[in-house]
Amino acid sequence: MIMNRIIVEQKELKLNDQDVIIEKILKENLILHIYGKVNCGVLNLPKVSNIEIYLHDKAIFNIDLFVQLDNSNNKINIYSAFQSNLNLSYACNYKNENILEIKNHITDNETKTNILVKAVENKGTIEIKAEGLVLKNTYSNIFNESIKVLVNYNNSVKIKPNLIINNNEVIANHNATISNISEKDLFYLMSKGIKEEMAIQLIKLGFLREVLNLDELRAEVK
Amino acid sequence: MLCIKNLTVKVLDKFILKNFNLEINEGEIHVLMGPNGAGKSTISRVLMRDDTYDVKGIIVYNDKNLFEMSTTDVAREGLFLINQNPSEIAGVTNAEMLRTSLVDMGKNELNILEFNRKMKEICSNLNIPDSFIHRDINYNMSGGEKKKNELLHLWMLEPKFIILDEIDSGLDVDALKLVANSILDYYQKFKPSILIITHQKCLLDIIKPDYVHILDNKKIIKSGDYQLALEIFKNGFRASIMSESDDNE
Repeated sequence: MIMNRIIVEQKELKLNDQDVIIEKILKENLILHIYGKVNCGVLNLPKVSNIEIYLHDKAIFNIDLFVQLDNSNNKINIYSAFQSNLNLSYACNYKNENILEIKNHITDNETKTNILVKAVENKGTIEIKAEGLVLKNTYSNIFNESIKVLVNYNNSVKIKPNLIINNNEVIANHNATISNISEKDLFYLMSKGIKEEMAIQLIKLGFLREVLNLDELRAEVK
Repeated sequence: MLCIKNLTVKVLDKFILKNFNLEINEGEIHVLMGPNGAGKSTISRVLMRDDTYDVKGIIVYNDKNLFEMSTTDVAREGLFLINQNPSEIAGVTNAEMLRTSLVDMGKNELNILEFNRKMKEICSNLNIPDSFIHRDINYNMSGGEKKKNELLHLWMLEPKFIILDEIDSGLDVDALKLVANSILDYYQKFKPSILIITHQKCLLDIIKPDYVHILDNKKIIKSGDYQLALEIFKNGFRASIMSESDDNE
């Protein structure tokens, strides 16, 4: 699939049945309206950013984000309408102090949401707040959220996963993992003659790339 | 030449090997056999300098003290391990890993076209599709595919001392024959030293060893040639060990 590359200068953007790579977002606040089927890759967000994503009825939105966080504060609010489908993969490496908030508001019925966040430490701290809100009087919704952080220097990581569910007709899961670099994987790569520092870099790359579905985004993770 | 003298290996105050001795000359094929839990895999990991283990003794390879080397250095010296359960590393392709390895080892004579051509040739010989070149390392592969994938690495990195730790585990008959023949081809081309850890006769029917050793009670208690392996396959370890005791009496 050949994807158009754009730079977003405006505060509001509509995407309708298209495949696009957003190379840069110039404004701190952005509203995205999604119609039809959209595959989107996002390379970098402003250090302080507030993104609102509105999935309209029956929209299918597959979005990969690869972000380098450095004293950043990123907020993403998502509003899911009737029968909309969201697959959001957020891969980042981080240094210094950072906050990431992802909030998904399930406002209608029969929606599906998969949110996958992977973060790799590069000497810094991160606080990840991930929230799923399933409103009353909605039904047949599925919500899955997974957050994984790979630490290297044992600095502080805070993960606050929250599910606020106001009805009985929902399937909702969330999980959070904080881990060190696998000694087994490190030994394996070093046993192929690779220096320890480079082996660590490869493991970190692999960790981030695994969550990204778009080849264009995977290629950016180097 | 590899020389192991009076090797003692402990983990958390538990002895796994005690006064273990073994010499392997250039181009020789040795087999290490023994009951489960005897410490065979431990030897393979100690040789590759897995620092989980508390070790004492002497291991010298080509006049170099392996205890003064890291895992990376040992690999660069030419040692190569294929173990029964290789790591899966999602997000890192075989090509990427091998190019990094070749560059780090100073063996980067191939340009990208020659590198890809060589990879494709090896894939063809191993009866695996070219797609393996850009697949993530061992990720979502069956047991047999993983072993073939490791052989892809072997042929690209061209080591001089190969350690095969139960490479036959999880392989069907055809896959085992292909794997064994590939190793035999490699041996005939490059004449490396090989240390095989196995319980399987099929593998040794194809890669006939020069020496066979039984590891038990934390050290090698009996050595012989291929006939010793056949005796073990026929009568089991106990009988073969008992025949040593009878001989001594």
